[in-house]
Amino acid sequence: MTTEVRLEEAQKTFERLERAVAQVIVGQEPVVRSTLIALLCRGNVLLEGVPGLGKTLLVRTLAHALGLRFSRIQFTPDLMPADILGTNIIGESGGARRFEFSRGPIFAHIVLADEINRATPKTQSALLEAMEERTVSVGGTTYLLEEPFIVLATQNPIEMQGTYPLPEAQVDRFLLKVNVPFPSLDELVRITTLNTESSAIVFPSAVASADDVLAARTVVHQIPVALGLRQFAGRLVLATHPDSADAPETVRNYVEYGASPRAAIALVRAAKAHAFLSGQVHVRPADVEAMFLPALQHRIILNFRGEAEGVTPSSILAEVWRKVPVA
Amino acid sequence: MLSADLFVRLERRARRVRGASWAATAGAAAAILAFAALLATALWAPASAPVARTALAVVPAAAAVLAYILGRRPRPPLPVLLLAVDERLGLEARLSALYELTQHPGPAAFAARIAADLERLAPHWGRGIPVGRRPLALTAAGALLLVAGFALVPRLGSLPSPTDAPPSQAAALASESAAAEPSDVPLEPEGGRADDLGEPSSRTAALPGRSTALRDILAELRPLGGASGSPSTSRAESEPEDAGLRRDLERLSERLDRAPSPLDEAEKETLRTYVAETSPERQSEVDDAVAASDLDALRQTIHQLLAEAAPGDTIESGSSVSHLAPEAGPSASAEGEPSSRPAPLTPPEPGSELAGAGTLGDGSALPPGSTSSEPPPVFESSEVGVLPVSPPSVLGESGAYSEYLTLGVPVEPPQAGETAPGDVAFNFDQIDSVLSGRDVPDGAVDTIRAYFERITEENP
Repeated sequence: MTTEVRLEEAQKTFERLERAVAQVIVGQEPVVRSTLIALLCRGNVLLEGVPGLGKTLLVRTLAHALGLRFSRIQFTPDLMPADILGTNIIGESGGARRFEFSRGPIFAHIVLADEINRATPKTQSALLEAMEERTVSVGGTTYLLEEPFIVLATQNPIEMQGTYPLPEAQVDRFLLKVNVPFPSLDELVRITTLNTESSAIVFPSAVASADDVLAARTVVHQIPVALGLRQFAGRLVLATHPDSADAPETVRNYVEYGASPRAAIALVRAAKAHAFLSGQVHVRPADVEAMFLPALQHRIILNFRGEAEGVTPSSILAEVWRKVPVA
Repeated sequence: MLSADLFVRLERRARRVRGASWAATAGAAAAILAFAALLATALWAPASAPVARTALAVVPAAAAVLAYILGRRPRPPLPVLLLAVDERLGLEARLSALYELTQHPGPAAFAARIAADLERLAPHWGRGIPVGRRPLALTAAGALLLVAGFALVPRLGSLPSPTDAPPSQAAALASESAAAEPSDVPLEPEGGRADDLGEPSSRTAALPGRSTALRDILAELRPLGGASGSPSTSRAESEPEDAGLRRDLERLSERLDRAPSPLDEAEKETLRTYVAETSPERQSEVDDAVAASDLDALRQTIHQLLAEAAPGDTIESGSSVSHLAPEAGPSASAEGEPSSRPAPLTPPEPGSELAGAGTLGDGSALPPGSTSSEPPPVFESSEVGVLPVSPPSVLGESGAYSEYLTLGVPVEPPQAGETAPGDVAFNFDQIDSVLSGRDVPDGAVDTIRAYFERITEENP
């Protein structure tokens, strides 16, 4: 199959996928797109929003539309790593007893880590290997996670009591962080209608398969990014560092640590996927702009002054975007 | 179809644009400096105005050419350039992506689609090369200064300079007079006279107001000369004619001395013409002698006529002129030039040889026949005029030609110890009498008097 054919098919597949998700999820198009981008980029998404915004519904709908296995893990303070990864148990086979690995909920294509910040750091870190390496190591044995694999973690930005903020190292492993906005009035009306006038939510049938996702990943990987745009992405990331010569004043004043090199990788990869979903075959500055905030906002660590004055990473990144020219 | 060498052409164009940008910047900066130099020169060193004018034209051009060459040399970073072109042309990084695909070949379908998009958009590549605002602003400023500078050049050109400015006030007047109308009465015969007048060229250049005043005086004289004929001009025109008549009369006298015989018609006409021109009161006497064919009477009459012109023999010695004008008149004659120049205004230095009129002011010898031991004759106002020099001079193969001496304006030699060398004291009463004796129009007399008063202000 030629690349041209694969390109057209992949783009059509994801167009169908977006339409299928939109039948269930009212609004939230940026969130849906960010999720698909992470899926195409072999990344993970951190969804931040108050409860009841349809985060779980989004993940379930996406799993149904893709015909993939879906699992949901509700993180609690007493959740143990084995509860996520699985554990070895004694089993009998042919009259002999031996340890067998019982797979945890992490072994799925789409994993929803609901309220991930409620679990202890030990349990949170159990996800690190799965998110980055796509493997799980238990009892000296490493198990491969089946592709496509994606972790969609949610956290509540308001209720902070009894939570364990994600360590920076783990946050950095999320390709994107998406703020789930509150729906508008029209969207609320439609949500109400969908959930009250029908007996149950009807999830869409599968419009794509795991193979389609993997094929699309190949196409996205081949989308060219101009060297100038890669340099632009690098300058954007460097500008988030307070000791950088190109850093704007807000960065110097309120940022403790800037974005990591992984941020630049995430930005370029996400821009590729965004271009693909936009029907393009090359990355545009608009793609970089669209992915700039989701790819970097969770990688900026504010200093005490920034925290005290209530400065948000998004406002700082907006300033960075204004100050750094494309060419 | 996009040209295969699109990127090469864009790179070349970018280099040209950068070279032009550098050239504009350097040229404008140089123009600013040159303009400043021009202004400074005009204010403080007018003598260097030609150099500044040349610099105003040459320096910016040279700087621009050099900057263009330097600006074209380095190759621009193509990815950055292409992204800038994309930005300017609204291509959404298509050009950059296409270049990326040429450098790191990817799916052909991608390149074909991007190229098709570019063809559809059909951008004007030339407008995509970024040009900074600063070079444009500097170019505008430089061009403005150049225009202003060259507009200023004619004004500066009127300032004297070592090459085109006269060395003295009198010479300036002479050149202006010569420019206004061809005149055989230059006011300054010798460049060295500037020193005598105490007017170095730099000083003259620093006194434009004075030059303007003298120029105004000359301007007043021009219409007078043009309307009724300048006395000096009419006199100068008649001088060669008189000299020719006199030579004819001398030849006639010699012929009668050599071979006494009756006069033919041509000789009679010569004699009548001479008498009519010089001594009309003796016309009847001459006519009677001619009619009677009295050769002795004719010879005597001719000798008397020639003798009446004898004072010129005294004048042609130059001694009289040396008293009044010890330098210019005789020096011109000594060089064998037909001289109708006015007398110089500088008296001899007290105690110098010039006071006795033995030599000329420039050290040249006096004309033949003059005697340094002779006391300087003093001319009355009635004696002024143009006097022929006799015998005629012979210059190479050109043959004989006439020389004339012009009596100068009388001045009073300063008393020894009262004035410094080179100072001039004028007797305006004498000047008026001399001018009236020369048939100078009344209006011109006042103007000439103003001239002398003007130059006297500089040499009180």
